[in-house]
Amino acid sequence: MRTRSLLFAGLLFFALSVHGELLDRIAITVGQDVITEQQIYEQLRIAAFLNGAKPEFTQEKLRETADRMVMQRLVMQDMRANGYPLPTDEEVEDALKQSRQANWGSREAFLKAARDAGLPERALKDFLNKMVATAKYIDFRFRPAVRVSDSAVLERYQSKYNPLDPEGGEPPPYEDVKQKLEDEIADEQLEGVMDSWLEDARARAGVRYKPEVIP
Amino acid sequence: MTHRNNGVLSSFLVTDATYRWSRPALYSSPRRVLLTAIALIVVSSLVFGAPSDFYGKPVEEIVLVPRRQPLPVDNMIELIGVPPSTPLSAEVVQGVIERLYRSGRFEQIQVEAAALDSGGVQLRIVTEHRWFIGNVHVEGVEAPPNPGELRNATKLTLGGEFTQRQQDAAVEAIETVLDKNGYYGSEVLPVHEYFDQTQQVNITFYVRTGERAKYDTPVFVSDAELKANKLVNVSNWERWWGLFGWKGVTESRTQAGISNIRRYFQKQNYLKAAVRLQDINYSPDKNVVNPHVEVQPGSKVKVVVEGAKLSGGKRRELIPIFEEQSVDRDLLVEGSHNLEEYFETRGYFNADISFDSETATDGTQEVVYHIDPGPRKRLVDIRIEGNSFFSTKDILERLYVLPASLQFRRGRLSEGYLREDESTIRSLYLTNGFRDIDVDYTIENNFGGKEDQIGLTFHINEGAQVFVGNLKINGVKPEELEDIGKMLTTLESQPFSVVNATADRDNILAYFYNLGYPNASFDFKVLTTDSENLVNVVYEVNRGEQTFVREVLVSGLNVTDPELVYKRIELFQGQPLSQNAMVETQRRLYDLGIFANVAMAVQNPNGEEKSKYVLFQLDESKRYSATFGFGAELGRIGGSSENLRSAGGEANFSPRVQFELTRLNLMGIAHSLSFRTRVSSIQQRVLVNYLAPQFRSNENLNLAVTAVGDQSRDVRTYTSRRFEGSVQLGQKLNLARNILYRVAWRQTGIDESTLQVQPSLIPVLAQPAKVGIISATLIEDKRDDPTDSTRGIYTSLDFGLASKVLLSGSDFGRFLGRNSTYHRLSSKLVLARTTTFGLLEPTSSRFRDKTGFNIPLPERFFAGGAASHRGFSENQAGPRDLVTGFPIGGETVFVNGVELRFPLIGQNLGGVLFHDAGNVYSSLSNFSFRVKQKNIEDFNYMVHAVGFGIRYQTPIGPFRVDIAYALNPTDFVGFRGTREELIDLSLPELLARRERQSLGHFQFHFSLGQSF
Repeated sequence: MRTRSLLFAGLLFFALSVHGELLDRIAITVGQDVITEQQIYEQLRIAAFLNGAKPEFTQEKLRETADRMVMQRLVMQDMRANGYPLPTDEEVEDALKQSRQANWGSREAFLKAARDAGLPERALKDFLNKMVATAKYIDFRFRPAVRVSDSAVLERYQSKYNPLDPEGGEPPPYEDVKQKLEDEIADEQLEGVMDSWLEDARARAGVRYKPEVIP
Repeated sequence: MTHRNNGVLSSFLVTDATYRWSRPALYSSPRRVLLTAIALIVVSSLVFGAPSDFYGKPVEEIVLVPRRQPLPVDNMIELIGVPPSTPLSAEVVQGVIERLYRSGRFEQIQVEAAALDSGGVQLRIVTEHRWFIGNVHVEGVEAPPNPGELRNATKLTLGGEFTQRQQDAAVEAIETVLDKNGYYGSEVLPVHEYFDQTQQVNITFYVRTGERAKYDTPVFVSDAELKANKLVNVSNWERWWGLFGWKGVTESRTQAGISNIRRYFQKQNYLKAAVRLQDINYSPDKNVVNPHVEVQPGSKVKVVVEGAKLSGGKRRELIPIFEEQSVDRDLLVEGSHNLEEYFETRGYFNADISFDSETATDGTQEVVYHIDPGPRKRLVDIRIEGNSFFSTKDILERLYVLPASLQFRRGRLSEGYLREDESTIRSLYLTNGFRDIDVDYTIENNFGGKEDQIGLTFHINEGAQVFVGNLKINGVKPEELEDIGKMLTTLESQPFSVVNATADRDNILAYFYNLGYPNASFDFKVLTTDSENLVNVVYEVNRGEQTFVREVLVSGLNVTDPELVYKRIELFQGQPLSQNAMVETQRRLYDLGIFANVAMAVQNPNGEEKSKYVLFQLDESKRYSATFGFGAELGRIGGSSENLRSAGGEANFSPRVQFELTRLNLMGIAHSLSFRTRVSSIQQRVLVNYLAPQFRSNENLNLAVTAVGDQSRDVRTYTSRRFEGSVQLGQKLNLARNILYRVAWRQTGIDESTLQVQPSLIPVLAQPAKVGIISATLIEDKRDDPTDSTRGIYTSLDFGLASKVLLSGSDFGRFLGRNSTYHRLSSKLVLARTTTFGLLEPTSSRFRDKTGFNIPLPERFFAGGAASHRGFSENQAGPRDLVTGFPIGGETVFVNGVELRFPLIGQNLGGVLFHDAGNVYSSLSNFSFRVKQKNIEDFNYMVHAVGFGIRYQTPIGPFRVDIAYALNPTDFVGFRGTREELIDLSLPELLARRERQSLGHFQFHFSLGQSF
């Protein structure tokens, strides 16, 4: 009942206030920061563009993008609080280059595609800047908390390459896959640590989705 | 509509005057509205897929919707930050939204664009405002829980953002607290009072509770066999052991019941007993609860101490398994350390403690502490070695360890104390620039060749002292440097210490906070120099944005005159938001004595706005307060009123009852009216007092109007009835000095049948005394602690003039002065002295009569007792009736007291040696330092008394016992017989009944507080 009332109030607010073309509005608040509706759409379009796909403006995609942006914003806030530096231009250019080469081959082809999609290069760089910053910071902030013991790797090896599994075939030598398994476990642990931090950070920052934008 | 404001934007920013919508029309067709809104959403989503056609066009007009915005126009212009003709872009729009949102004043901001005929763009900023929490009240609940408890449960913070989610949580929290207190199924209705202009919302939670549920038979869930009836008894949930049913449910009662059950098991050595409230089953049809209590007694634990005596109470105090209700190795080890520390403090410095824990066949766990206390020793010597910067005396006086003395017969030593003292010495050196200070200690057994003596030596390696070469403060304006310079503890050429730098940080930050920089930050760097003993220090101050007071909002005033509050607010609109001013305002409001709680906060604390609302939420105290008190007096205050033989008083005990009823905040102006009674066997008193504190809004003035009715027998010679009315104006001159101006009128009647004087004087002395007196008292109090002073000075000078102009029956002047000083001779010894001098002088000869009673009997000076001359019992000093021997007071009083105060045993027991000298004299002309009584009719001599006293420190001051030995006690003529005989006998018979009596050498006094 309350959700319906809120939705109705939101719609009412929106409907009553619209006069000209609606350019933008708050979609999510993350503490003192805001994420606007336009930013979510832009992010969605850029992500699709860099993946060489067409953007889908469905509720699910919208929500998924919004959640990712909230995470990114929380990480950026933590970075600011800890005085962690933003990525250098070279780092961003490297990331852009990788994306260019993977999907478009040449810089010219990439720029043309971006123009066609209505995405300025600045927006793409900004997007990648945040991506790189987030990835680097997560590694810096949470990776030290990850500890993978030999016994855990061995256990994973034994469960993954069970010699008694009739369909498993011949298991690879332990030493050959040890590093891969260790990385796999580390990534899982990192994800766990990150999830728990995110939950806490979201509660502290008071993340709020505007139901009139993201129901 | 155009706002006329300075700056380029003055004709650029317009608020919505034309787009106002019509509420009734919209409400008339909600379905239509919903459909329109959905259609717009769809369109909007499509539009958001691509950049707007408006982007790139110049912004020529900005419209704010609604017209009334929460921030001043100037502020809005600054936050919007879009100068005229700015080309519109997504970044511009997002910038507007971000900046406005950061102000904290808006819940939703949306930006729209419309084309103008000129080809430019009109930007329309539509805002939804945020609400902030104001006054929160919960009404309709009979305590417990009290309204404050319920308000705390809501977790709605004054000045914080108000959301529906918070309110839902608050309602839930109130319901939970109500449930715990037996109010099941209560209805909680939040009602809001909105203030658009300040965006504040006051919330009142109206509660409908119904009857409080009662306890009913608890269910005990346990694997063990339990005596349920006994547990019900100890829970104390029944009313009068069940004779009157069950008690009402309250949270504290439930918790107390659980604790009582747990304690019951602990008393039977089930130390690990787990008692937990599993559930509290509510039956709505009967409105009762059946607490389900899980009880797991566990095994018995027996604690045995071998090798030394230790009382049960000490065991519980020192061995934590009793308190923690758990037995594990860590707790047992902690107990072992505690025992070791305990025995060390008692002189067993080599005590050896070990423990075993075994489980017997019956399941009982037996914990045995083996204590080998070793020989008992005395710490006789403490030495300091290696110190050159600080003297040994300077270091010793900071230490907790002490060598053996009268106070600590074995000295004071333990490992814990040694650790603390090591740290104390280290801190002392660190704060003085010795960064490499090293402190250690050694203990020497058989000190001085004696087995029972030990010596302690602290070894100090001071290292190099580091000084501040250059101190630089960045981020501070030159005019601020002078103020900041005064508060610095780190100074050039002075020793450097991190402690000082930290103190500087606190002072500097406080300075900026008070200038309205709530986000000021401080950092410091220590830079090495070429010299090993010199460092340069750099303070970096980042002041952040300055915040100003937008307005002060006060809530919670129901009966109090708002003017009374406003006059005490030290924050002013437009001034920097100073934390000091906020705290000072809070203090001044508390000082009124009419508020139970003064909460203060800044509204929208996280919002980035230049000026902020400051909120004060006041809770008025209950308007009536009642107190009861009991006490007793013990001393030579007794003696039969019929038999006149004990003129010097007999040991007696007088119980006392007091009752006070006060009506606070009279007429809402913080005045109070009190009614006090005090009844004992020697005094019955009724007092009505009207007090106007902070009279005429002046914090340094107070006015009191008092009426007293009193029947008293504190002077054993007579029983008096006194009626007095007085008006007193108190003025605080400074922190230590006060002056009291008083006009009083009193009539004291003496009950003729109680007057114990020679018959010929009865008609004279029994006359009612009417006195109208004007007086002034100057008080200067510079004592460190009024209840137990160790240094300082106290002086009071009281001048009075009784005159027929004031309807007085007698004209006389009165002076009473007292001066006391306190001197600390050493860390343990305090010398205190006091001198009291009083003089009564008739100012008209018509009152001089042949009896010598120039001043009415009740107005004369009486002295002697615990707070006066201890060589006398209460009011027994001075002239006495020449037939009965009862005291009749005098016109001059002089008492001088000297005390040497010292600790006796431990921290709480102290002693005093004292000497009191003085007496009450019939007149100033008869004042004398003579120590010998000329004859038994001579009372004008100085009585000396020496004595010893014991003081035991209590939270309300020292409890005191004094035993005085009067070196030259007063002998006097007493009467052997009853009062009837005194009246009826003829003169020769009277003379025959006269006998020599004495006040005796020994006097004893019991009292609370030091004698002066």
